Amino acid sequence: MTGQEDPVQREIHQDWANREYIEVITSSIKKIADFLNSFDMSCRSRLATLNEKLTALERRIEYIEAWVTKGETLT
Amino acid sequence: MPLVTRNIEPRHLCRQTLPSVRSELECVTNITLANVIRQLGSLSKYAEDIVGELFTQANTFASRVSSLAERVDRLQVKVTQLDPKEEEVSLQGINTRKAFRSSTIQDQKLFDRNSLPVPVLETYNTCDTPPPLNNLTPYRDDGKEALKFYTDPSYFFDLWKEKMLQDTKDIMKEKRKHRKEKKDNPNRGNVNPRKIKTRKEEWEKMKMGQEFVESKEKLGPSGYPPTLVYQNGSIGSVENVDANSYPPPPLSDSTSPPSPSFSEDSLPPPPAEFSCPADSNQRGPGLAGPKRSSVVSPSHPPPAPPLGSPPGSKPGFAPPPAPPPPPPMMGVPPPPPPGGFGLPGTPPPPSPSSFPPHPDFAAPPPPPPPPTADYPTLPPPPLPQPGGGAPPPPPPPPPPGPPPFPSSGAENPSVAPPPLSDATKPKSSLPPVSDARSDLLSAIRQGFQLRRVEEQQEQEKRDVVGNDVATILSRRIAVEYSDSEDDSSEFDEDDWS
Repeated sequence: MTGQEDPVQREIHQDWANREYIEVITSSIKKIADFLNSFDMSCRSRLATLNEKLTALERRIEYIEAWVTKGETLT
Repeated sequence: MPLVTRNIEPRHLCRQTLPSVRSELECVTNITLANVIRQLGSLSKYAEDIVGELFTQANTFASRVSSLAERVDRLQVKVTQLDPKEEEVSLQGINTRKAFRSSTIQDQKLFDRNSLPVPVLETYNTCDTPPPLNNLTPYRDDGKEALKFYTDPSYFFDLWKEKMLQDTKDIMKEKRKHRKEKKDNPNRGNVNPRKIKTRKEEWEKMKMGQEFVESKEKLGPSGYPPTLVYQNGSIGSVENVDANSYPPPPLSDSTSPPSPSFSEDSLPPPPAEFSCPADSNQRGPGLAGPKRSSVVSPSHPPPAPPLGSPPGSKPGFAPPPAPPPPPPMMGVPPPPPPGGFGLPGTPPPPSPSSFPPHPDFAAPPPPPPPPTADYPTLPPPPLPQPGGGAPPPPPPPPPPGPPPFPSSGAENPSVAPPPLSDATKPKSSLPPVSDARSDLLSAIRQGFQLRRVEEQQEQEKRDVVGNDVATILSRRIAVEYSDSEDDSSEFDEDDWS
């Protein structure tokens, strides 16, 4: 009986070890995916704030340019 | 239902049928590891995609920042060159120079097919394409694309556009009527004296609390509580005019069902389109008959397929078209009942043509052209038979002379005139009268052709002017605001004189 169990037992042990290894890999894949998602979201929000500031700046500059030019053509 | 933008591909690692091997556990392990490697591959592809998008955005911002920096430098130089003593302060300068207008560019076509992110586009491309119905287009008489009857992405935009244009026309007509009334009654005086606007009412309303103010507004100017769906879409509510409260064009509507795979090309919200094309085929022919009398113009609720599935999801859309119809619709209802009357024997062929009537109805105000859109799909030979009995009711405009001939002539302007006259001439029992009839017939045919050309010109004009949401909305708002301004300014003149 023990003779039969040994190879089977060994196999099962090996299988468990393999599964743990695979589990580690898959959970790291999930962490990477999570990180990518949150990185994407935060980058987009920061870029959006940047965009807003840029647009506001552009409008102010347009206004100031119109104020200052006095009929000359803008180069 | 939210769509996943990026799906990492081998979804399940070890759900596969195993080949018959001796060591199954090892086999499973190997298969799983191989799938893990594939997953890593797709993960890296998506990571590259994500970072690439962010990179392109950041690049555009970088270029904008650099141009801004240049402008700031130039301005700096210029400001140092300014000399307060040299400044010209002429009154003429204030009046003659153009006032500063900041460029308010409205974002349009945000959810276009081009702005679809690449992974979603790939997912979209895995779907089945619609059947190649456009191969049947050359066989159609009315020149419409056959695929539009199966699935028309631009349907709701066209509907909205027609409604807006119709509204602008109505507003202009009302303006003209008002002006005419004012001209006719110069001594009207203070028939409707301007109400002195005080804040007292507003404060009274707010007395009970801010929440109750809105409930009074919602009753609407006409006094009866509109259903929630109206949403200030009616023409009569001038007080509630607000650029944002207009029946929002389909673009903004499509953001509520959050599906990134839809663009302005496929305007209707996804559930509508997904379920509709499937339904339209079955429902179209069946509902075409009973729906004929009700489906008259795009200003009516959309025809069977779109109306069936999302009646709740497009509330702001379907009913607002209903209020404007009463004025323009008066002339139009007569034709469809005779249309339904005249085609009882041939429902299947005209059923696809039940759809084309809407754009056709909205474009030409007078009734006669619409029935001509109805009839051309009928084959000419069967027509003279039912033509004798059915046509008497249709179009009022044909002179009361000989009814069957002008109406049958009206019904088939697109058919070659000689065959039709040949087909109908044998029907005439009185030879001298037939000459008069044929003259009338030819005159009317020419008349109808003239109107058709006008139609085309109108259509072309509209296409040329501006086919996007912003211009149409701005035109409508301009007309409406100018209208109210004219009214109030005229009242002001009365007060001061």
